[in-house]
Amino acid sequence: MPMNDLLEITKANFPALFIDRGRIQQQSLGLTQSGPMDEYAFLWANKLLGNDLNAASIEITFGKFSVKVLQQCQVAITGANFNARLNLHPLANWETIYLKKGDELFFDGPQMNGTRAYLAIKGGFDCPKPFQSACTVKRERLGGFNDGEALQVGERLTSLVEQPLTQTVNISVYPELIREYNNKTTIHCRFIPACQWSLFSSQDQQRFLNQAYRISSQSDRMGVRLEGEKLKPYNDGVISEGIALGAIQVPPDGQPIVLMRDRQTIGGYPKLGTVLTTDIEKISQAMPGQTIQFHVSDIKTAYEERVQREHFFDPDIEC
Amino acid sequence: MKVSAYCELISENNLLVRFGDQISEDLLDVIQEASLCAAKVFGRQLKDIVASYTTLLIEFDPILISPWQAQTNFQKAWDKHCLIMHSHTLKSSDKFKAAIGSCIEIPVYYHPNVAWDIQIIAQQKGITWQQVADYHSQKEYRVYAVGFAPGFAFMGQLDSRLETSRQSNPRTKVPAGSVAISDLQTAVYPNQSPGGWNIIGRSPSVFFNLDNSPAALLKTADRVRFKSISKAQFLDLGGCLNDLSINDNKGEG
Repeated sequence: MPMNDLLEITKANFPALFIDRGRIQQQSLGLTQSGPMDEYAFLWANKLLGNDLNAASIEITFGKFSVKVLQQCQVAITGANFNARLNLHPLANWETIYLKKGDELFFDGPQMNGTRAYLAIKGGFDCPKPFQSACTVKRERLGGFNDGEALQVGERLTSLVEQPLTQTVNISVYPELIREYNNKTTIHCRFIPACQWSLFSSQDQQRFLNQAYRISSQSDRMGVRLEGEKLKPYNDGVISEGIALGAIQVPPDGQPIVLMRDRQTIGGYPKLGTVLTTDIEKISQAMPGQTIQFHVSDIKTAYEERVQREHFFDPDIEC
Repeated sequence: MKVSAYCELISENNLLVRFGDQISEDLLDVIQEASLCAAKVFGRQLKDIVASYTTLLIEFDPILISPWQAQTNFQKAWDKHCLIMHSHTLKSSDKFKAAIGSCIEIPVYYHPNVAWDIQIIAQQKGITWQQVADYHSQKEYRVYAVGFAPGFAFMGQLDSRLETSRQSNPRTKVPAGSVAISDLQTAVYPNQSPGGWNIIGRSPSVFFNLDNSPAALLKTADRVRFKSISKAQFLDLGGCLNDLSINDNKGEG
């Protein structure tokens, strides 16, 4: 039996996209993996609702988004703080909310506390899953209700499961585990020197480590462009090779680009290394113009943090 | 062919394996073997795999295997594979080559109406545009990598008489099916997209469709030939002539 529509989008000024943990095993077709820009916040939204951790939720970039409630449902909001309100009442972020028919949920624009919020629903949104993933990728025309397009005003949303009929208690993330994304400070981001790192001159290596880059407004889910004192890549290009999440590539203009969730599968610019998976979310929540400083880290640290992260969200995961 | 693999852990879940630093058809086959080898070694520990010209990027699940164990396991399996291949005088390699199968034929309408750059290239090379078409359709190509866009196959090697550099100002829109060349490579744009390669024809074939299985017409290591067709054949096969005008999409990109 088809589920009734639960929510209707009443405002979507910036891209709001269906997202899950990614489209895997399809890179041989040239498809990007995609996935949530801030995986920590994404996972929390599902965990708060007791969902499968891969359940589809909505990634709201830069806020200015609202939904009208058509039928009672339980949702959770995490990530950037966009001054979420239920009708006239301010809502706590990183918390589940019980919505009743006739309610309206509003998100304002950025508050210098992150740029991407997650709206999850009990059971996960019921949405198209091309190549087994909800991820919406415009340039691949995949995901969403309209071949890769972001969600539009008037579109109606439902869940894969029946919603609780009576008011649920709001569940929130432990205060010490809530992320604050202060967009006024410098982001400190760790990376593993790898790939062509040793082929850059030692002056360029130092130049990369010793400056605070500015995050360009020309940044998106594919890559975050940095602006700073130019590097001189030892080569205009290398033979194209597979690109890992967080790869820091340097095109001929000498301004590095950190490759994010919607990165292309292969690329031919020399790379300085790989940003730690657990630091990707810091960059994902940055505002254009914010500064970022890179620090050398290693595989061991990256591995320990990643394993700890996976076990935290899914204690039953087998090893 | 015995080829040593240089393995580098580039993150907690990615192993980049280099097999050489020169593009060659032999290396293409080696990397395909390595890709199968990785699938066998890692099984369900394997998250994703990207084969390219000289490298293999192996993404494993760090919850199921540590990065150091992943590196050791692959290195051992590859060394063993090479040893067996060596002693069996490439028998399994021949078997592998047979599995690549027959050549995929791609129909192309080579005509300045749809081949926006064919006359410029002909001029640059001091040949006719018909010769550009001939040189392009006389060779058999291999798919060296798939990427850039869904189903976009990088094919080589192009006849050196057609070697070109890409457009300095990439087009914001290239029509679906555009057959293009750049350096010593050729490719077909599966869908309308931005692009900087030189367009020398248009194919009526479908190169990427979600509802097809597999979704992409071409995959890494495939053998490919282009066949020149007439305008009537192009239209018969469902080709589209007027989806975009050459004049309305020069610009940023």
